Amino acid sequence: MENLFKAKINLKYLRFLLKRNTRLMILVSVLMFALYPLLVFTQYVLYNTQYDERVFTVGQVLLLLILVATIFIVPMTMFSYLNSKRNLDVYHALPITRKDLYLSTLISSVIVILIPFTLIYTLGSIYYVSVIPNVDVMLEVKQYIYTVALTLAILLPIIFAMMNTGTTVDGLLYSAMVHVLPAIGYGAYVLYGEATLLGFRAGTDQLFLIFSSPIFTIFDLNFNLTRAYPNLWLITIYWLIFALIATWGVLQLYKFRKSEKAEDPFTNKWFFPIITTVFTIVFQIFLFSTFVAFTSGRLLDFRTLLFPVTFTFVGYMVLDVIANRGFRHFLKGVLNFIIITAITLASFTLSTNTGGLGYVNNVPDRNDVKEVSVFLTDPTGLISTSPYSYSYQLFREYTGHDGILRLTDPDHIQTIIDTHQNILDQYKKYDYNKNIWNLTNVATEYPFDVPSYLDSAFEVRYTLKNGATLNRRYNINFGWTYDMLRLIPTEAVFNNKFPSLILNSYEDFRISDFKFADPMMTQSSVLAGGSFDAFRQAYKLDYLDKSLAQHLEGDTLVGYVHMTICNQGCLSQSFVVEASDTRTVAYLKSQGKNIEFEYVEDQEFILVLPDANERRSFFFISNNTVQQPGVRDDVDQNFTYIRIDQQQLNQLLPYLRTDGLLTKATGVIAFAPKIEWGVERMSPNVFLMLAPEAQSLIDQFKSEKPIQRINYYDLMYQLLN
Amino acid sequence: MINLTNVSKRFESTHVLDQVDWHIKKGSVFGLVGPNGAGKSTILRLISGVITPDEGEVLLDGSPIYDNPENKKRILFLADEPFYLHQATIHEMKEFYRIFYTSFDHEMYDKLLKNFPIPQNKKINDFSKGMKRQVGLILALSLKPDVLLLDESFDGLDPVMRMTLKRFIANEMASREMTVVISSHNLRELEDICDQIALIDNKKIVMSGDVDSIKEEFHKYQIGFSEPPKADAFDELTIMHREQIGNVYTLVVKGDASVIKQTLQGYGPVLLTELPLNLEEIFVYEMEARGYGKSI
Repeated sequence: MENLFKAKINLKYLRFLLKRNTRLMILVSVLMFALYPLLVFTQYVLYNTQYDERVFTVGQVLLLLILVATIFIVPMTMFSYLNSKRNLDVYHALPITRKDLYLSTLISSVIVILIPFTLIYTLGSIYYVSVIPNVDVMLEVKQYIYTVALTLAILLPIIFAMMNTGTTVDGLLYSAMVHVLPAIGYGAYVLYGEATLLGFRAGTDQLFLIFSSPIFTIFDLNFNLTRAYPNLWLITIYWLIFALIATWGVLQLYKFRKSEKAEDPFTNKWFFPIITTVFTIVFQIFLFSTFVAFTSGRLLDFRTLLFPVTFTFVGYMVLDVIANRGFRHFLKGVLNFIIITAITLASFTLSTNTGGLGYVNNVPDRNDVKEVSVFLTDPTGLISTSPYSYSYQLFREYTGHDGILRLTDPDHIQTIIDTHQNILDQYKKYDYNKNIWNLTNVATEYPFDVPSYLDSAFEVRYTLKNGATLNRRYNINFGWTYDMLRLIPTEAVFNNKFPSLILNSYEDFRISDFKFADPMMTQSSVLAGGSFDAFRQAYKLDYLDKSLAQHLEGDTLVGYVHMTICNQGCLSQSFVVEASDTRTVAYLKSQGKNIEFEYVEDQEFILVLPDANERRSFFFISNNTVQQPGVRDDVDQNFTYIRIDQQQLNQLLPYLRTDGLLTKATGVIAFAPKIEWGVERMSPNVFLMLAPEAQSLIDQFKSEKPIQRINYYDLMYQLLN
Repeated sequence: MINLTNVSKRFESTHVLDQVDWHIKKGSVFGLVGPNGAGKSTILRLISGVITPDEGEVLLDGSPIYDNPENKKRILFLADEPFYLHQATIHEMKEFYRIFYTSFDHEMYDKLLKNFPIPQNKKINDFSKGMKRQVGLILALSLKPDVLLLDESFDGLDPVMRMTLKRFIANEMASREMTVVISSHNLRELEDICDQIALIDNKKIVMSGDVDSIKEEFHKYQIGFSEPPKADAFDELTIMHREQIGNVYTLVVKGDASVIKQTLQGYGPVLLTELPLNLEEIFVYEMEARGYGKSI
């Protein structure tokens, strides 16, 4: 590094190079101008209405693309003397040290690249700021600084490739390969993990690419402006340090670069074997993984190998023929390829068969875990509010509510570890190595059948006491998460189920439609907005006071509190109030609400009856009021039902249940509510389960009313009409 | 002035120079001759600091040349195929060299341009091979180096240009003791201008010294006999080359002229005449004696 700092820039030579490249700079400037400010202006004059901010973005993307192309072209011309013996004889005979010559040429290259960009970027930014309101000027300045840093980071690998090659064609080819390698490497990493390692979870936000591919990063820093981590300046500094170290590294290479090797394909005998071997291995892994994924299986076989091996063989031999300028070393190349492929296949197979050397089976010990974060797509709504809800997604976007359970209690951590282990056991039982998707006859502990196609995402992140993290992601049959029901009485689950009740501040939100409705949704009355805090505190305490059994079995329905909370998007949620929610009931009474409704209308209800040995989830789980689609049954099957009247319903009222999980199928009351209920449901009908205690009443009604058979869709139709 | 001490150089598996020792005095014009691939260009590139020796050292006035701008400022290397910047005119090349050589002499440059009809606004890359070499020599002489290294730079020049350039070089040597090293296959050219000559063969400098001294060391005689001489005739002499037509022999002999003549007269020849011998012949016979091209 000392060498680098002692190097001096020959200003006369720098000026000379700039003068010689004036025409190139003008050409690039004109091209950049045409594709950015002129493009924007063209859009304006064509439509003659107003400026479209998106056209500025398109112009900025094109500007960056031209910049990247320039970064490839300029060093090829500036350092072209490296690729000619005659030129090298002259340049290296000049009274200037190699390090000064290198640094002067490098700085000249940077200036030649940056002058057109700076000019057009400044012009474009002034234009942008002038015609688009509320543009952050400082952001424009920052982006310029990021781009300059990344320009250096993109430039240096190109010069590195040139130092190792002896011709422009080879320099360009290997510059491209060096730059493409991280992206293919990342793709190979993700695909390999997903194709072969059960539970594999690629890092978020393409961190690998941000820290390995300056071309990816230059676009990311300019257009991914919502990035919170890592800090944009951190990334910029990282690439500046990389550029500095690379400048020094390339200087060392230059000092030892053999002049007599110019015009040969490679000036460093190790460069070709290392780069092509790494590139071939990475590309093979990429292709193997892709084709393994195509087959839904997890092992390599003839079908998955045929294309990748043939394709990479042709690619490798083309590079070999280019490197040797002919077919003289063809057989040697074939042998090398066979060795490379054997190594790739061996490592691929070894890793698959050993589960990534233990990666697959690694479940941490409870005593080692400090915190665990779990994300689960829960079709029952018992553990987590459905992420499929559009309004919930909007709400998450504006509140930062991520739907993740964060657990620190050792017992809760153990629950997740048990669930994790159960998932692994189930996968092994179905031999996931053969076919991950064909999970037939999935057995679960739920009292109802969970169809094999009902897959959920289960993502877990363990933060260990030693500071390390362990991340896994599985697509599982939802039934395998039965252990997680133990978490229902926890605050983490409460927070997850009721995001609208746990915001730190409600200042930026508007609460509307805050009301209370009876269990059959025949009437509602508005609650005072000022009492919202009292409600949410009471409801949370009631929730946390209940045992798991109380949550699952439920209690007599009192009614529902409904609210809509809006910021830039709105989320509507309903909260089931049961008799055991004593604080909430007290709150409602304090609001002057008559919670003892009397149903006087003459309305018929449908009592759906379970078949013998009933296993359909329709009879066991209900969550009509919190936007859940419900566990999917085979709804084409027929149901048995009777029609009951208001008087009979009144007798069943104490046994109506929702938001719980019953152990025995007793019956379901289906009806169309009388009031509008702004809840995102799968159907406008409501289904309330009946507790087992209602069995004698049901038997009595069955003897009084005719029993009929109907399919699900007809049932819906009858309710609506 | 320039010292090569125990210099060895390899290119991959090819051993080009092996333990070469060579000294070049200031103000001398050294001709460097040797067969193809003997390492002439390698020596010039070592002296110019383009490459560095694997072993030994190359010094100019006691300090290294490689990566040493102070010494390199004093040396100019003109390769056999001169390099010019892409699309450059002679004027642009002048500007290029002026960046690095503060010694550039505009007066000399103008003078040389008057003597050589070079189109100044035309791209050098469009010039003929001979014209490109003229441009190289004009620039090289204008830079006023202390040491001028010419790698077969006269080849391809027409006779008038060669003579003119030689005159310029001779003037420079006379006025400021410029040292010149010229590698060439054309020994007649070197003979005209060089006062020193070095022969490189088999990775080493095998012969080096004043042209006159070398010439004094080699002698060519035609000797005739009335009867065929004995089979071991001439064995006591260092015969570099021998030709026989009947009883008439043409001999190239190395050694002291008077001793050789006396020895030859001792054989009782009917004819003994000393013939002129030029440097090229000396080079050819010396190389033949070393086995180069003898089988042909």
